[in-house]
Order: sequence, then structure tokens, then C-alpha cells
Amino acid sequence: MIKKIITTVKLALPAGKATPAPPVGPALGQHGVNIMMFVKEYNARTEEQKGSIIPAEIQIYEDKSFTFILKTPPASILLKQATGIEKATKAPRREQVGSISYKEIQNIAKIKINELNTKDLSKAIKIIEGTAKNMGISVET
Amino acid sequence: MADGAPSAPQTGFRWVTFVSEDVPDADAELASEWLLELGAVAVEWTGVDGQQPRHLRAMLPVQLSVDGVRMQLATAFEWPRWPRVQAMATVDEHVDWVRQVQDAFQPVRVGRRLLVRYPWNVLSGAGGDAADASRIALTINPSCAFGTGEHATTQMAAEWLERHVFPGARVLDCGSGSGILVLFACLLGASTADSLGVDTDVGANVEARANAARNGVTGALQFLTPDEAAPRLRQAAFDLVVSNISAEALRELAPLLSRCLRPGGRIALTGLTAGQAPDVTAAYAACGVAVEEATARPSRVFVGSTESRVEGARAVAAVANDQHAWVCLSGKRVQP
Repeated sequence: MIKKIITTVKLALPAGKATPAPPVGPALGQHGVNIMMFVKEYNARTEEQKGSIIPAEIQIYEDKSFTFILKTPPASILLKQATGIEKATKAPRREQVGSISYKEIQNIAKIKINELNTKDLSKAIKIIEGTAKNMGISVET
Repeated sequence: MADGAPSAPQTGFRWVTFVSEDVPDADAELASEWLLELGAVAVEWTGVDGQQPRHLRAMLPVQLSVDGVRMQLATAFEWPRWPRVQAMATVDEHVDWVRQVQDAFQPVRVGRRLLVRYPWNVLSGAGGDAADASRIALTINPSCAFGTGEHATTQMAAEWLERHVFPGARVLDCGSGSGILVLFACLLGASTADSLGVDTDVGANVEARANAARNGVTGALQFLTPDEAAPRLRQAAFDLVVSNISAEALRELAPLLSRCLRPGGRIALTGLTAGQAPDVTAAYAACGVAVEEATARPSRVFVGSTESRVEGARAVAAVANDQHAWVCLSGKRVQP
């Protein structure tokens, strides 16, 4: 018997430190999901990665039960790691804080697309490029 | 559509729902990723398999410009227009979400003999069916303390207690939370004066004492922090130790918990996964406690690719090879 998924929720959370505060509470509570159970399981699974952002993609079933998948950190963090910059700029149009090669953009896009049902690499690349631009990272061709 | 005065300091979040016709199915998943990169703290999508009404919505910090987000979505995916906003609603941060969900909880059967009820179930007379009448009813007010009876680890620990508690048994619950496990042990016949709940969370201990009172388990049973319990633990000789915490904490506590067990006493260790079991087993073996058996329950978490997720969802009963399954290790102190 395969249970029906009624909705999927993605949350970007601090590993090992999730709490019922927003976004967790409002995002899960409206579907009747056991919030404390999710918080406990998420923190137990990500205990060893404290300090990172580990997004969780949660499948909520019609009986209010749930499963979830842990994902790779957001592209903004992978870009920081790839370029060695500490902080994104607050003024992306005016200030450049670093640069990255197109090849590295592609690699990050491939990492991300590996976790998705969608396999459209060119669109994923556009998103990583867009994130880089918003952070003040220029892309070298 | 006004985004609010740009100069006023703003906190809080709002849900923004996009008109589904403006978000092509093929882009919905990537759009949700892009929204998180743009600053959304949560993204929710429903019905992208075409079977239900579709919608994509995001929880955005109020200081993030909604028009800016719409523009960036349209640009990245080359949509013909900016996606229109179907609805926007402020997230009420004063709602106690934990409470809201808990209010929906129904009584839970745990093991063969326990029925966990919540105070609101008792008041409304929701006692379950006739089969539940033969069970030991334990009323728990969970609040924020862990231990509502539903988690696989609580269930495995409760089943272990059913097998091993005898009249007058001295039981230590390390990481007692709401007190559910040691309270269950007392209702099974353990000695209240000689049993003990220990938790680092002072608030949980307050709640556990209230739960004890709710169930007529009074006075003699204590719930203490590790510091408060230290004098008792130094002289301890418990018959049974149950601990539902985490792999890391279990390893660190191996010397202490082993010392607290009388020779021949038994211990249940849970809150760890199958993959973590070997290290925990070794830590206790080094302290004279031999793990004799283990039970396991499937996990809710699948780490990795889409293929393994689908596989996991269908094979949730097959825990044998699942490194992420929750386990409960049952051991005995073999050293005198």
C-alpha cells in the first residue's frame, strides 16, 4: 500500500539546531505533522554537521505521517566554499567579492541536480550563476 | 502591490502563493530551489504530479521584496511574465505551533501493555476502544519535552521495559524527558523510591514531576539534573537502566551508566541508528556491559539520491540493511 503524498516542504535549517520556531512550526504545523518528532529526528541526523545549513525536504502523507531527505547545503554556501570568500556582498551590482570559473559553476550545478527529479542541467546552471551574481561573485568564462 | 515602507525595520515572515498557471510544472522543483537561494526560509509545493490542485508557495522574510523575487524567478526560467501572486499572508509568530499539533494527538498504543494518553484526551473522554481498556493508561502532557510515546525509540524502550521490569525493580531513566519511560516502569511495578529520572533539561524535569502526579506516582520518584543526581548515582546499583538519547551521549556516558548497573543488571540503549551501533556497543563492552540483542525500526530519513528515496519509501519495512534505522540495544553487566 503506497500512501499518497499531499505536499512537499523544503526547509533550510541549521544542522543539529532545528527548533519549532518559524519556519518549522508554521510550515509543518498547518499540515498536522508532529513538529517535535521532526525536530528530534532532524537534529539527531545532522548532529555531526553542526555549523552547516543542511536543508530538509519533507514529504507529508495524507495520514499526517512524514519522511524526509537531507540535502546538500544551499548553493550560496557551496559557492563560498569554492571561492573561499567569507561574506557575500550587500551591494551585488557595485561590489565584486570574488570570482569563479564556469567549470566550477557547472560542478556545483551537477551536485545540486543529482538530488532532484529534474535533470535539466542548463536551468540548474542558470540558478547557480544567478546566486553567484547576487553574492557579488563574477563568473569567468 | 505594496511591499511595506522600506525604511521601517521589519521582522517576521509571510507566505506568498504564486498563481499556479504562471509556474510551469517542469520548473516547479527548480523554482523551489531558487526560492531558497533567494532567501525563502520554506518552500512548499503540492500536486506537481498533476493529480491534485497545484500550488507553489514560499515563506519569505518580510524585508525581502516580493517583486524582486518574482523578477528573479521569471528571469532565471525565462517565463513569459513575472509569476503573479495569488495570496499573501503574514505568518503569525505568536501561535504556539507545537501546542496546535499536539492538540490533535489521539491516544497511542505502545508495546503490548501501555496506552499513552494526553490530558486533553482524558478530559474529552476519548479513551479508545474496548481493547484499550486492558492496557495500562499513562497520561502524559508532552509540552516541549521529548517523550510523547509515538517515536520508534520510545516504543522500543517501552517494549524492553515490558520484558524486564519486575516488582520492586530499581530503574534509572537517563535522558528522561517527559518521564514516560520511568513512569511506565513504575506502573509495571518498579520501586518508586529506588528509581530515578535524570535529564539535563530543568524544564523537562518540572514537566516530568507533573506527569508523575497526573498518574498517581508520587513523591518518592525523583527527576534530577546530572549534577543534582550525582550523589545518588555514586552509590547506585540499579537493576535496570534505560537511556533514549543520542549515539554521542551514549558513548560518553558508558562508564557512568555501566557503574550504575548492579552486576547482572540490564540496560537498554536507544536513540541511535544501526550505523552507529558498532561504536556504541564497543564503548559499553569496554566498560563490562555486553550487548546481547538489538531491535530496529525503520527510519523516516533517506539520505542521498532520488532513486534511494523512492526505494526507501517502498521498502520501509526492510530494515535489515538500513544504516539509518533506529535501534535499541539490550545489554547486561557481565563484569562483577
